[in-house]
Amino acid sequence: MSAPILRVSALTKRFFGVTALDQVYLDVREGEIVALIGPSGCGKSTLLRCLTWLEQPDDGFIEVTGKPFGRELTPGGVVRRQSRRQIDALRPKIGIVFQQFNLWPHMTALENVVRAQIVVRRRPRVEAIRRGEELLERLGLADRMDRYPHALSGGQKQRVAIARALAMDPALMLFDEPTSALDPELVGEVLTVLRSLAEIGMTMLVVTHEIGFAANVADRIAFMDHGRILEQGPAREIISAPKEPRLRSFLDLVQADRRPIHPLTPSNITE
Amino acid sequence: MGFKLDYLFSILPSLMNAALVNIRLAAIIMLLSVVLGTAFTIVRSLKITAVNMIIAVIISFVRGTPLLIQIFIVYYVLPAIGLDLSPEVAGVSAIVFNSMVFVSESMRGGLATIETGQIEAATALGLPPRAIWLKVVLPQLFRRIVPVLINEATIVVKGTALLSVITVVDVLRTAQQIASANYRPFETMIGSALVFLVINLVISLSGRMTEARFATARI
Repeated sequence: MSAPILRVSALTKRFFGVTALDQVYLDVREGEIVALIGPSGCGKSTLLRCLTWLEQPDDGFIEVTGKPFGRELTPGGVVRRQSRRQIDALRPKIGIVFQQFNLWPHMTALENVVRAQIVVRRRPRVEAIRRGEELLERLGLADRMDRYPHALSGGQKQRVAIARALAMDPALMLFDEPTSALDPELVGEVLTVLRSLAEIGMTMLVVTHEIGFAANVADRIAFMDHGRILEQGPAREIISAPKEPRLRSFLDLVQADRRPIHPLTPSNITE
Repeated sequence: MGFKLDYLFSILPSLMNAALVNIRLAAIIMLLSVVLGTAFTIVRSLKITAVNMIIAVIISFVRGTPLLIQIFIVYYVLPAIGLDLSPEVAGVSAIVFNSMVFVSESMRGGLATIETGQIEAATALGLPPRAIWLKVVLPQLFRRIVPVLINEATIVVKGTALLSVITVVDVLRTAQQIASANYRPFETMIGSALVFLVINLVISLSGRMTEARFATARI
């Protein structure tokens, strides 16, 4: 079996003595879609931030496409922190999409997608524009390329942010609650994009509250609580037969409002 | 001795000629303060404790002492330590030093309004710090501080009049020379005030136009 695209081992992060990540182990294989679920404050977002080195983990290792990221074990057995330059060199391999989009407001949608390609991937401008246009078209934004972010809807902004990350040709895409900041009617368009990425075999790690999406699209679900991954396995198994009691009560809570409501028919009104 | 309008008109050409000195110096000062103020802001954002403590002392000195005294210090005191500057260079240095601090202070304020998420997105894409400053932070920062820069430019233009006391032949000094030759301070002072007023009106107006242009981009 090939090396996993992402290998996380014993990753630990503390904030002022509070443990946010506690010995996290996680592998994501090529083409695999892993949904990360769990109650708020359980460390899901911290994990993604550590995986992009936006937050420095205190301990543990990250490997991306077999290469150590951020911290490496030298042949002498010494743990060495990589330089910013080394970290930056691997960063394009990991695309991240944030809850709050984080587009650059002073650039058009297209320019948002083009800029990093030129600066980081050293692509000629013409080529970067071609790639940007192609991606935005694929995400249904052909007529929005010259708009500034403030003139886009939340769903459109999120799609631009996805295109921006994809333009770097990442080996892995991370999504940090990509639909949480969206109006309910716009959630669908972003989930559709995620599904289409799944279809083309993109490797993804998705932090989400959309349990239905996790169950239907993800290959695997990992459940986190108190900074640990408590249970992980095939998506349907996790949803239909959770073993961990905390996962069971979490699923009960998030699915409470999804249970079918008895339709209001003339018969039960008169009851 | 009454006010004579025709006398005012007769001295305006020489005052306007002298105004070129003020305009030239003010332009140099603004350019240098924006460049150095930006550099200052970037250095401060590195959050090196010792450096920032020194900067804090410099800022409190610049803020807490009159500009006129700062000009005198550069012109009369620095030669004592071997730095003998011409009046123009001394004056420009003093005002740049002053103005740079104010530009940097307002940039620091503007920096707080740029969401960290934008910088994190850039970092995660692998943009090096230099590119993040140049492509993401500074373009937004400059647009936000345009009103402050315009205000600072008008202060700098007025500040150049202070250089008359260290023998720079500007509008004010020219006016004083005319006044002492003809004993007509009324017209000459009104005349020099008018010259400054016109320069600053032009600056404010062009500033408002720039702001309006950025406002349509709503950034």
